[in-house]
Amino acid sequence: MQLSLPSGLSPRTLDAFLSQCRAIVGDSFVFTGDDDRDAYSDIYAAAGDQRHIPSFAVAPSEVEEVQAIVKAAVATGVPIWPFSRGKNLGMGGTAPQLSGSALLDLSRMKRIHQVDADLGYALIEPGVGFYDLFSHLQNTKTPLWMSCPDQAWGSVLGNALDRGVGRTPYGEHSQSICGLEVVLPDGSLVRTGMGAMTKSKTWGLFKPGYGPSWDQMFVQSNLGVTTKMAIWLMPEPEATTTLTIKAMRDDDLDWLVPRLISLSRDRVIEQFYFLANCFCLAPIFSSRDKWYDKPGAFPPDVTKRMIAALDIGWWNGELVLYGTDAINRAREATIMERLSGRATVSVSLRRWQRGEPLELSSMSVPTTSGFQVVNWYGGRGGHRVSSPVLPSRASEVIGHVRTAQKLVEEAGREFASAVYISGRYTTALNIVAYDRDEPDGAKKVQDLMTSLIATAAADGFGEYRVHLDDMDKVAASYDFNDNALLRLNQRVKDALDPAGILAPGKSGIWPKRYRNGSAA
Amino acid sequence: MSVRACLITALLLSQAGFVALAQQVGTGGPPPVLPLSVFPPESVQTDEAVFQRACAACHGPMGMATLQLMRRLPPSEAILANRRDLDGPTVKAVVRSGLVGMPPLTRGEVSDEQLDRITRYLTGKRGKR
Repeated sequence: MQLSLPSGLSPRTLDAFLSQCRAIVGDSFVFTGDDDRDAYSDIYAAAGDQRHIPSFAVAPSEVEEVQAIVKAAVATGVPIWPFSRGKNLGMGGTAPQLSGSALLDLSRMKRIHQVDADLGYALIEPGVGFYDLFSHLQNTKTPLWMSCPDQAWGSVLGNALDRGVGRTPYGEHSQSICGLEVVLPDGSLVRTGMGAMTKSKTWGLFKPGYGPSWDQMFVQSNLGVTTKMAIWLMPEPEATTTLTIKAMRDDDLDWLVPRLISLSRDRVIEQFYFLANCFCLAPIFSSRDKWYDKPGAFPPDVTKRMIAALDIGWWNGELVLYGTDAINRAREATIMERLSGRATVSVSLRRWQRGEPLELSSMSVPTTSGFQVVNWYGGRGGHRVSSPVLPSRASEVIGHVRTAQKLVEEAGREFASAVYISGRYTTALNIVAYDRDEPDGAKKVQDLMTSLIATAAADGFGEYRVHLDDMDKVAASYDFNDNALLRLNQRVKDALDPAGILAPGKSGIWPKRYRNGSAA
Repeated sequence: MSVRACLITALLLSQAGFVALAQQVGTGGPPPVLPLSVFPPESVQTDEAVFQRACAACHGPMGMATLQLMRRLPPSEAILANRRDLDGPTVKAVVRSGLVGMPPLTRGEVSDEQLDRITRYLTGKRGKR
């Protein structure tokens, strides 16, 4: 793959930085080959799209090595792009925003430093994946439950720092962060919250610390390299109940959404829950060509035939209750009452009590099955997601879903939609799957994503998390007072990272040297 | 394999995320006891343990790769560790280059030495019944 360097960076300078990286971590953990650059690029990008190609990767295992690499980057001016495990594949994966950046691969930092079973937290490094932490908790018979995203191949720390979500009471993962260890862009080391005290016994317990709280400053930001994180875990509940919703008609959405929102408003349900349409579930067990061989989005009769054959709903949902058996049963009764009375909507439930096999519970477990959506069209699959945040008002949620559906179907694709509902806000996931080798795919996919983002923004709905290619336009859409928020972010960026070496362009935040498209 | 058979097979293998939802809406009634994906700790350094930690998230029961392979193989053969027909060069090429929806695994995530052990594990059953 063609290597291109950022403007103002010479091959000689890159070589000097490369040599320093080798001296810091050893030759075995610096990866410079063409095959390495291919593997570390945005692997779900459409064929021919080479906008995010790294120069090389360096993989430290110790925080001191991270500090030394950052200092070397400052000294040489080489931009570095850190990632934890790089498995947010629809967002760019391991790839840098700025081609030619060196990758800081933290996947070898895999230590689980501490798990406190009584107080419910873990202290972990960036390379610890959801499967790693889950296996650790199970192997040590620790009665703490995780909150996993739908696609859980990635890093616990990285997912929290990117505002990933799950479906448990701890499902807003960035809100479960309780103190970080961070290498700042000058190579110095800081701990936030109670971790700032050397002998602290409350690092994983009290989020604010003393004085200003900085945890969230390092979320979706390029202001530091996080090397440790304390994160809250949920004590195993006494009982769980899972209620599974199956709605056979597309317009059942109009009936379901207001009722589900009312359950959140009344705190019958206290965490995220979701509705997913049939095009989120069908790819798990089938590909598009099994149902339809013509271009364009499925006609309704094809969709009906598909959901009948798969025995799934047009819309499908899951509500999970965690608590005591008595509390869960009271909540169940309210839910069943409010979701009864429509012939095309059914609700089934499954109960578990502590002591029964965990496999029967509704604990959040890691899975990679969500990736199957990329294989819907066959060939070498990929996907992108538009994720606007909506008010939890039925008219606005339903209105957005229909608007996004129209845009996706007019682009000739099936509309894979999931909405994650809470009492105040709802996150819509508009999933665009594609075959990476389809003709003119890069332009078609980008045009559709641009349209989805712009339409949502015009309606007052900002995206919460996007692919590299959309970061600038989403940052620009937060446009109050001539993009005052972006200008504040830039001022903080320039103050902490005057050399402009750390993750240029992350979340649309470019250091001064790269603003206006040229190196300073 | 019919879609119904796939769903029932899925029921026997795992629960999580959209798959759990598909299983429940697809079959009605509670699912049977399902295995959890628990891998050995880093202190266990057998070839199988290295494979599990690096690959079984996708290639274990109901992982993304297993689901994909179930579209063209019987369920037992869709589990990669059950295969008897894998050869070393193919394993290494797929791991480093990816295949269809599978991303490549970088040398930072899986070292060349670990890949040798994974390959030895996966090809050790070659030709055996």
